[in-house]
Amino acid sequence: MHVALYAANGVYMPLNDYFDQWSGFDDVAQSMLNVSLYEGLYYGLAYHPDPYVWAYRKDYFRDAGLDPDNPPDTWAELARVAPQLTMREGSIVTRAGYLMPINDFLTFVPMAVMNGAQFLNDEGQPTFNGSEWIEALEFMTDLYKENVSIDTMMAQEWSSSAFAKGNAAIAQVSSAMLAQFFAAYPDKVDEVGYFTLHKDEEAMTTSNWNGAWLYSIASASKNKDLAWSFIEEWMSPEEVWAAYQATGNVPVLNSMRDQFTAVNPELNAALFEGVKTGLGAPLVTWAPILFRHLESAMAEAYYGEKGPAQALSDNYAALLDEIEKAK
Amino acid sequence: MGIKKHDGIGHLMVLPTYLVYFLFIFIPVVMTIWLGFTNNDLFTRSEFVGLANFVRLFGDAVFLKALKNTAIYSLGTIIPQIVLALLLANSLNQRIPGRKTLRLAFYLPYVVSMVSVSMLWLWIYEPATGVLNQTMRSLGLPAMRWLYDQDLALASLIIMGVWKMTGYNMVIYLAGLQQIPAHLYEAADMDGASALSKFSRITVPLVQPTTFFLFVINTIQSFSVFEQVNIMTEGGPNNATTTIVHQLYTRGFEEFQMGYASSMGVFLLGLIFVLTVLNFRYGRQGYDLM
Repeated sequence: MHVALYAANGVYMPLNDYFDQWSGFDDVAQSMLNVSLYEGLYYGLAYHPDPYVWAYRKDYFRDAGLDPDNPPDTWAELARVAPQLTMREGSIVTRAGYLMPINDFLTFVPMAVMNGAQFLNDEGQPTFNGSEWIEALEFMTDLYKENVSIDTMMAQEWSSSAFAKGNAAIAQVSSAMLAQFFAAYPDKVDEVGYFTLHKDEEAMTTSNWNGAWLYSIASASKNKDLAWSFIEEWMSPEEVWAAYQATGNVPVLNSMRDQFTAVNPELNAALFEGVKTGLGAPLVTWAPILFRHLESAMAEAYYGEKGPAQALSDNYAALLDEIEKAK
Repeated sequence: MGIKKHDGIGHLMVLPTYLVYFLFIFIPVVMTIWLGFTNNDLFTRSEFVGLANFVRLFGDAVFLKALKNTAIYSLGTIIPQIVLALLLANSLNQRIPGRKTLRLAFYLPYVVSMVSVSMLWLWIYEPATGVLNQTMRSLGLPAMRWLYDQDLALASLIIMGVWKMTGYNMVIYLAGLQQIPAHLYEAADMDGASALSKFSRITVPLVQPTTFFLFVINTIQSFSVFEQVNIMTEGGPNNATTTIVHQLYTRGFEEFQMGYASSMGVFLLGLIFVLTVLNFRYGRQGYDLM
């Protein structure tokens, strides 16, 4: 999220000269190269992606009388099955049919992208007051008001996901959250399935969030070449594989797809695809402010303070105002 | 033999404290005030922008919400935690069985880190499986969404704040109570004064310096509320619990608008300064027994 800020302020140096001479460059997933591409120059190299995948609990599907091999494919199907999978005590949801943290823009952005949205237009301006975003937030708000989600927030999901605790039937989850789940319920590994979601039968775009940790070199470094040697070494297939084996870190090298998916065909294929298709933060200096306003629009819509269109429109205007004032 | 008005050795002995204060409080405060008048972005930019940041504060709907929330939080915590502390201290100043254990029990929340306390109360307030809702269900009461209900979230933080801080106030009050001469109560007993009368006519007036001290400390502490907000609610839902320091942190350290964030800090400094001056002006009456 902060790459553009660091790049624009000269904290990181461009790596293009090193990339031009590096034989491994073409092997890195394009989506991972893009996360550091600011104004035509690469300011980092993603080594640790964190793709979110659409996951569901097959056992919960069975319990609800749904086909465990037939996860939702479209928004309409998600809206149909989520209430059936939800468990409540009174009005309090104890198991989410579909997990919707109240302020997690990571769950909102992919829905808008499925609907044809992009973060920025050709002029580099934010677009979230557009119809694609509004439709996505309307869909999510309707679902939220169906009371299908357990109460949770983004930071809590990162530290201890409701899905990992077994309290959600369908969720967008990161590889770290899945690792939490598998550690807590090793006997349930085969009960988790993965799917891709589309808006409808015609719109075949799918989307998921995918952030990444990066290697960068400080402009002030006195040992730039040495730093690059370190990066180059750690991005070698041997070291990337060793990192995966030691930490579960999803490889970013295209050449490792088969080796990676062979270990756990269903999950790892989903994670690898998540790296490839995933979307991270836009490379603009005001990305953190953009996300705060997306979160604000979500909360205003979910809590009924404003309609989704109004919430997005008001926050869009506030964002433009803040970008101007922050200059 | 004349007495020297200023003792050089004395100054030398407090020099380390002066240095720590100067380096870690005075200089940062001066720098924050200066940054409040700039567009500092923590990187390379730091141009003087006059009062622009302060003007912006009063057109910033989220900051105004944070100001309102901070005021409600402070009002909701300061009075209850001082009143409860005095009542507890008064009770635990009597010769009752287990009073040392009770004193320890009430003081314990204060010494636990706010991060740990926040994690504990997250679990207590958790709507689906939390202890509080389980208890309410067992009593036939409806479960609540607590931190996820816009109307309850701030109140939930206030309850936790009172729980955490009351023990500290109680210990300070205990120290104050033990300074009250016993003969005053004995004289009241001889005059046939009731327990309530002794409390209101002797105890409350004679601990007023302690109350004043606690009021100042609690005001500063409550207006600076941050950790529990950041951990338990992230300022939500829908900014229902965001506070001045939470906004300061968000704008300064997540969005790198350090100039603007500093103006929030300066505003808060001014607000606390005014409140403290008012406390000194109107709350310092009483009988100093120290």
